[in-house]
Amino acid sequence: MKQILNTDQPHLRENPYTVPEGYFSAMQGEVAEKISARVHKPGFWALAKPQVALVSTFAIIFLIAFATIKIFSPQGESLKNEAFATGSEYIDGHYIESSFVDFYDTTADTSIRAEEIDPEEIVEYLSSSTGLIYLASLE
Amino acid sequence: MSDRELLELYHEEGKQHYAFNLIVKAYGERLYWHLRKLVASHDDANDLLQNAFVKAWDALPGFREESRLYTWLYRIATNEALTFLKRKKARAFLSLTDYSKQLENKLEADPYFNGDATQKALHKAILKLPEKQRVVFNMRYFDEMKYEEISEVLGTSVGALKASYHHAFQKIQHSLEEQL
Repeated sequence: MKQILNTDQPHLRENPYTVPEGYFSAMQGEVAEKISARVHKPGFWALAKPQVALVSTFAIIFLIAFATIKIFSPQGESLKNEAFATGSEYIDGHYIESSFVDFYDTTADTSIRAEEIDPEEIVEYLSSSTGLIYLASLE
Repeated sequence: MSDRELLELYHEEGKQHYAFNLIVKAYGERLYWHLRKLVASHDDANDLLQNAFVKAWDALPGFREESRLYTWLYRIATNEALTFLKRKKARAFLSLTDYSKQLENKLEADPYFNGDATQKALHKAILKLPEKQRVVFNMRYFDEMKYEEISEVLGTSVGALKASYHHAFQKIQHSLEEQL
């Protein structure tokens, strides 16, 4: 069977279609007109990029500053000790508060008088007991 | 002007429109003929070409130069044509006339077809092919593109393209035997 469609018929590969006169230059003008009205919309990343860059810059500056202060500040160690001391005071205080035993039982001791001694009584006592003063002066 | 030069010009401040017009001038004609052989009608080919260029303009800022500019434009135009043909085919499904028959009638009445009887028979046979086979056949037979290039445009494996071309060739051969 003879093949009708083969490479021996080069005219079959030729383009049989035509276009109206001056079509291609008119088409270029039409496309140019269509795209002139269209502005490239910036994509999400194009909008977000400057914001992300700004935030990143601030974050980096903050981290560098924080790290510098943390590493080189002399207060770093004392702050740590202070924190420890505050903690230990709290612990100690809490321990004492919770574990304090009043061995003298001051609340129940009736021999301790809360009222003060009148100074006149003291002077009267000392003047009547001159022997005691003499003994004290010997020392 | 090479693709690289066109793209460099496009990226220069204030020269986007000028560069794109040069791209249209460089590739418009070739893309038009590709579309015209797929849809037969001049008006449809013109509409598709303009839509393809508008889409290319919108997508050009994201073009990563992973493929050649022409291949990229060819892909946009081909996708535009395939979508158009599918839509027309779906509409024709509801009507009584088969869409390939409508295309044949358009070709018969086309004032811008200057081919002889054999060429007309060939193009009628091509219009009877399924859309993708038509694309593959046209790219291989008329544009003499390598399978690797067609693969780049259509995103189909070379093996599948060879099989598709073989089937298309057989169908056209059969159709020509009936017509002539």
